Amino acid sequence: MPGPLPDPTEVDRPYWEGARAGVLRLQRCAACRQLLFPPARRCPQCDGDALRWEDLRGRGRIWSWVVFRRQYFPAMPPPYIVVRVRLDEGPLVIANLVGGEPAIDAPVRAVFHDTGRGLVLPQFVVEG
Amino acid sequence: MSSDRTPCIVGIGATPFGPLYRQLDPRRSAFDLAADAFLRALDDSGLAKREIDSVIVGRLPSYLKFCADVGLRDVRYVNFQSGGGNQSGLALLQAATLIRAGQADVVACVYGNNGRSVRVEYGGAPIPTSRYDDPYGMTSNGAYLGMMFRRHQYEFGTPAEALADLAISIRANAALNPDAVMRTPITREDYFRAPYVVEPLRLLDYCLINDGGVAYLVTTLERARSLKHPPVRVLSSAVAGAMGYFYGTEDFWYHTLAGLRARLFGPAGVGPADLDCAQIYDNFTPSLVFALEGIGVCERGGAGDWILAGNHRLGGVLPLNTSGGHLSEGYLQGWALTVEAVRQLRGQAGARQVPGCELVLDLTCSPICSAHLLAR
Repeated sequence: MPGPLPDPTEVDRPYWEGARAGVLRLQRCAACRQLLFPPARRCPQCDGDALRWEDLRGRGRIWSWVVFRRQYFPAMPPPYIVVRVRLDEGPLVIANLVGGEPAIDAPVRAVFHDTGRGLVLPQFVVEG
Repeated sequence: MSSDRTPCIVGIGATPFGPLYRQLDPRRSAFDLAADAFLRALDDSGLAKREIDSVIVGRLPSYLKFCADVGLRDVRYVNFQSGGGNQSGLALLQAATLIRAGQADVVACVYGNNGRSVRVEYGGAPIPTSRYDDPYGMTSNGAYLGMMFRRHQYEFGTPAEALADLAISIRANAALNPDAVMRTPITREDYFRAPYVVEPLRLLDYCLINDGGVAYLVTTLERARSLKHPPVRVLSSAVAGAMGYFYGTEDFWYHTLAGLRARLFGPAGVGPADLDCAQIYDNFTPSLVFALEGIGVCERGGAGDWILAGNHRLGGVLPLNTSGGHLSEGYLQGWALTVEAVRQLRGQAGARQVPGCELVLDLTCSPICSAHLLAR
């Protein structure tokens, strides 16, 4: 069971639609080429507002990880693993590791979990 | 000759935290705790209440009510801070700046927190990425700091025993502080036997949640000279923020803190080696590791060895959090650390007194890093 799920907004709806389609999708600034996470209305780096959604490879490496041993959300009994992943394209994102042993710098790929509650969540598994 | 407007802390007051912790009271008011601390600080200073012309209020739900409660009705300056822990250093900076600038002559800084009695939950507060973190059960600054610490271990080989030794020495300091919440000494065995909260951090890496009030009064050196206690001067203050969507940075705030060293130590003409003790914001033990490296007490990546050598203990090179800090004295969101710095400089710290204490660092390492040098 996932924790609290957001309602998609006009800003991040393509992110969630991407997840439903099985791809990680983020905005790239047309002016400075910066890739943005989290989704935004304008580029924090150059203030550009021409942002184009781009499909990513869905691959990265674990920057670090933790194991929740205490319950914070009623729907998420511990233990569960949270990883911070450096995507190959640059941004750092948070997700659960749902396959393989966590280790810093381990290569991971995105998998997509249908919550059954309207949203598909990107998750990661260790590659190989 | 113009009067010397060097800001000085001249009165300190704190409620005893231990008794409040042992007697839970859902009717306990944060206003009453703050007022209690304020009156103690006023008495400690020797100032008359009518001399107070400015107020900075921390965490209390209403600055109006607090000021009215204690009869501070006509003020030159008043400001109020939300409950966030990294605001305490900013309260002192603000007060010191007002004094230097001649915008205030006596500033009362007050804080009250009844969070334990009313069962405030600290984890789970929204951050900018909460809508992308919550679905994964990711929440609380402790989890972010745990993630940073594991990365620090990977990059620099910092052992978990360094965190244990911080928790142990800070508890040992609290054992010498009659007002502290947790006073039973702990060992490495206790530390490693305590359960994980968010692995790699264990229970004893986390600060307490407790009730209390803290207050201090800031005025000019000129006015301070004729008060009850020798003035404690605020030699310099520096702040630097690392703004971002997450709690923390990939460099453990190293460059944020390193960037404010010159502004902190420069005006005072001193360096980290001149410090007699340090009071550092210990919301979670890794913050201390990052702070020691960032401010230059030890080299980058060297905090593990520095701590394992015992440099942070009473009697060591730089005693840390001599009152027991947030881990064991009580979590007053930085405010009580400032009061402890003053006690040490006045020689009032009893069994935990650092002999000949003349220069103290009061530091917070967080998205807002703040640091002050206090001197006798």
